[in-house]
Amino acid sequence: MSSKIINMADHGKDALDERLEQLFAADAIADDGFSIRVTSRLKRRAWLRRLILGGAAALGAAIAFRPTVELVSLVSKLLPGPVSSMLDIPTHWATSPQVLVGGVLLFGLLMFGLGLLED
Amino acid sequence: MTGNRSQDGEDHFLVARVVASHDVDAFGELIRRHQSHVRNFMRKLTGDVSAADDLAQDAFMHAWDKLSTYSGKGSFVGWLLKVAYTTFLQSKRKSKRYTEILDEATRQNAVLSRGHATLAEEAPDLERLLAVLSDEERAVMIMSYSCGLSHREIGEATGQPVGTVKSIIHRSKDKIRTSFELEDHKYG
Repeated sequence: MSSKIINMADHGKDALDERLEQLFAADAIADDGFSIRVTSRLKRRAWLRRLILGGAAALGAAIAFRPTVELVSLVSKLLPGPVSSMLDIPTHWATSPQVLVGGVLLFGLLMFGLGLLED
Repeated sequence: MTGNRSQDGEDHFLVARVVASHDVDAFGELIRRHQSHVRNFMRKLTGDVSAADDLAQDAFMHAWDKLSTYSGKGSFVGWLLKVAYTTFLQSKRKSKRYTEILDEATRQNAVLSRGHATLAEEAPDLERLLAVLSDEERAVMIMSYSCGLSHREIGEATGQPVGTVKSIIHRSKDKIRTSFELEDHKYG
């Protein structure tokens, strides 16, 4: 299929225009997987973005975990007895298997949520 | 591209699907419909098939990111070529590889200037002909003669007023006439 030149009505077509049209005429390029390569690249990029966002959120949570626990413990000491006991979180929780498994599950949920948001 | 209202309508429908729901399959369909124009444009602009296809891929990635800015006024392929041209200019600023291709084109240009080929005697291939033009002139000529865009669409794609587009085309034709020693009575 050759390119259809229809814009030359914008001005008077001369002999050079006709010669140029012949020279510029191009056969259509077959897709040959080009569109699939681009859409695959788009999907890869979306996943990478999701992974980076999830990773950044997990890293941020990991960094903020210990100071947050310490802050909550400190605040709990200033509060009356029953409330204080509710907020008194032992610091060794950070390394317990339950917390680690919970963190991984939370990370998975976060990734799933980001995927839903993007779709 | 003017003239094909039903194709424009289908393009607009696909664009709406992509913008509304980030539908990659609808975007894939848009790529299938227009990849030939964009790749042809890039091939003629760079003169290098592999670099052109890489740039065309980048152009479609940028098109995905910017699709919500397409207002629906004018043809989709015109907007796509605008993105492609911007991608080309950005890549040219960054890429060493393109500079090498450009140097090669300049060398060819120098050979042409010395040889002063005559179009009537020795038909120039398109690459030699485009080598005498600047990037902007080349892009405008390709959009006009190869992609079939109207002057208004070229103006939108290159960010130039219609009058400037016309004068670029006129200047480019003059350069081609001069470089190939064309006589007015033969080629306008």
